[in-house]
Amino acid sequence: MDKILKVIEICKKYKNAKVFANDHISFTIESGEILGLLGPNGAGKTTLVRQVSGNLLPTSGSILINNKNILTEKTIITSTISSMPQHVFGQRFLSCYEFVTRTGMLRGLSSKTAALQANWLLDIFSFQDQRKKLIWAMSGGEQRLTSFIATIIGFRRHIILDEPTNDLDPANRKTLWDLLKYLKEKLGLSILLVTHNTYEAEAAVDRVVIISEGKVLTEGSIAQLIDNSNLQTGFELKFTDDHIPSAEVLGLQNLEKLDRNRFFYSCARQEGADLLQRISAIDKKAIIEEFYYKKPSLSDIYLEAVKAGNNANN
Amino acid sequence: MPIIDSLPTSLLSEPEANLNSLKTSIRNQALLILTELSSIRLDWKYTLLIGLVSPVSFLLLLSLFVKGDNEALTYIVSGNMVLTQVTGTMLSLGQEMGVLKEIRGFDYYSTLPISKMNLVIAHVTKATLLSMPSILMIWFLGNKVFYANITLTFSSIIILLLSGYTLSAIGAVIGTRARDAEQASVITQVVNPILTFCSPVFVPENYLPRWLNTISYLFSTRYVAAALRNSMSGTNDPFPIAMVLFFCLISIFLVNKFMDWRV
Repeated sequence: MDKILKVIEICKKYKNAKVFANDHISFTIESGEILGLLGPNGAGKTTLVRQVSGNLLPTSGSILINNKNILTEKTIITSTISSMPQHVFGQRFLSCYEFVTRTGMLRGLSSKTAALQANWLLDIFSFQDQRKKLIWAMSGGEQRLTSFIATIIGFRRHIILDEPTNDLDPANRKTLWDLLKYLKEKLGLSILLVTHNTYEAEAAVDRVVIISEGKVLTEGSIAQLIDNSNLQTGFELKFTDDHIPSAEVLGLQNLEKLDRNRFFYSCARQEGADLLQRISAIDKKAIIEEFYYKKPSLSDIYLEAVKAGNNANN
Repeated sequence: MPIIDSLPTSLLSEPEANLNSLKTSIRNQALLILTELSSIRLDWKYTLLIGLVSPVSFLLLLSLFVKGDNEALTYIVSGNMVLTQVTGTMLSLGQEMGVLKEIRGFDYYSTLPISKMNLVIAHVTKATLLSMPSILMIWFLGNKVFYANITLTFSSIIILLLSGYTLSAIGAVIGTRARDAEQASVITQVVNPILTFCSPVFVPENYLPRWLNTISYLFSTRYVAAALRNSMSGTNDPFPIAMVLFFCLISIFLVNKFMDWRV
């Protein structure tokens, strides 16, 4: 597979630190793929992406793009990677449009193409009315969106995004996810996405790598991780407050109590109708207020992986 | 609002630019300088005020002690220019680099085909251009108010344009190696008077203790001040000008050699 980014056994230990911020981390991102990098605060995610985007030197290990080591061939980074900065400081006196087009030109676009791409991106986010606004005068969300658009312009093969949806309103968040999916499908861009928003990421990512305390806990597609986990599919039920279900209902095998009147029944999706009939047969007074099928989410996988990682370390 | 699917193929059809060509490098440098200069959109009043108040008040104060002494006035005028142009630039560069380091502002540049040297050149160029009103005011006061026999010649202008670069490596190193912006600010403010007052900038070298005068041969401020005094009084001595050029080249070499985005 060409246009591939490989992170191989990366270790990073900061000066005077006792532990590694990244400890033998390896993964690959292929062309046309969105890889979610998840982990608790302080897990080493930002340290990792800052090494991939050329801001930090790894203590050991290598990062390859098309089998070329970015540590020795420095032009690889500037010609293939685009990374979203957390702050726009040096350019704060530029307008949104100036910042985006100049970033495109610094990536090698002609002024004409930079203008066309900038306008296309600003149109998508309905952001043209802010094009003349100076960055320092923008709200946090507007600055974030401007920074994201400046990251996308030039359509680099590998895009690195660290918490791109922070501070964005729901409409812009949706557009952002739609755009990322479009760019990976139509242009074959690969995207390394650091986020805490597992609910939004679930719909966008192809694979995830979950790290904690600098180490990879698990990786794979969401379906693979569900298959490999102890998480179960089933139905969540909520009984009305005015009737406590009978002991027979509460004694059903596979029924787990979540709180006072909320339960989870582990079973396959097609067993749902049977479950309802069984409960009404056992306890005719029991009234089910809510009943829905639930399968493990990326959030469940993440929580289970981190919990298992913590238990292993303790 | 267009739908995302409408990406025109013309937006992608441009051939890949050679990011390492000289033409691209010059264009990128120009873009960075323009970006740096954009700060005057909001800060120009304060920039002008700070640039004028400090050197002009210093000039007025010192001039009270040396009324009519042309040599002393020449030292004071050229010294103020050094204070504004050389150490002032080093101070602002160190502080800006310190802020960029603290807030991870360098992250924006690391995936672009530019180096820290490009950033240093952009900042020094901005600082040099923005300090010109201050330089002109110092010369005007020295020449027209205190009647110092000095002329702002073409070579003076060239020396002033180059002088900001002579300490750029020191400013850049302080900014990027300091723990944070606050520490960078403190260090630059400590270094600033050492380079200015422990060198024959405001006073002739025979006024300095011998050991201090010897050490000052390592400071670019010594040569910038001498070159300015010579050029403004019509003396032609190529040595200080050559040393100013040498310090410029050394600074560029050090920044290029030792300042990678990766730390």
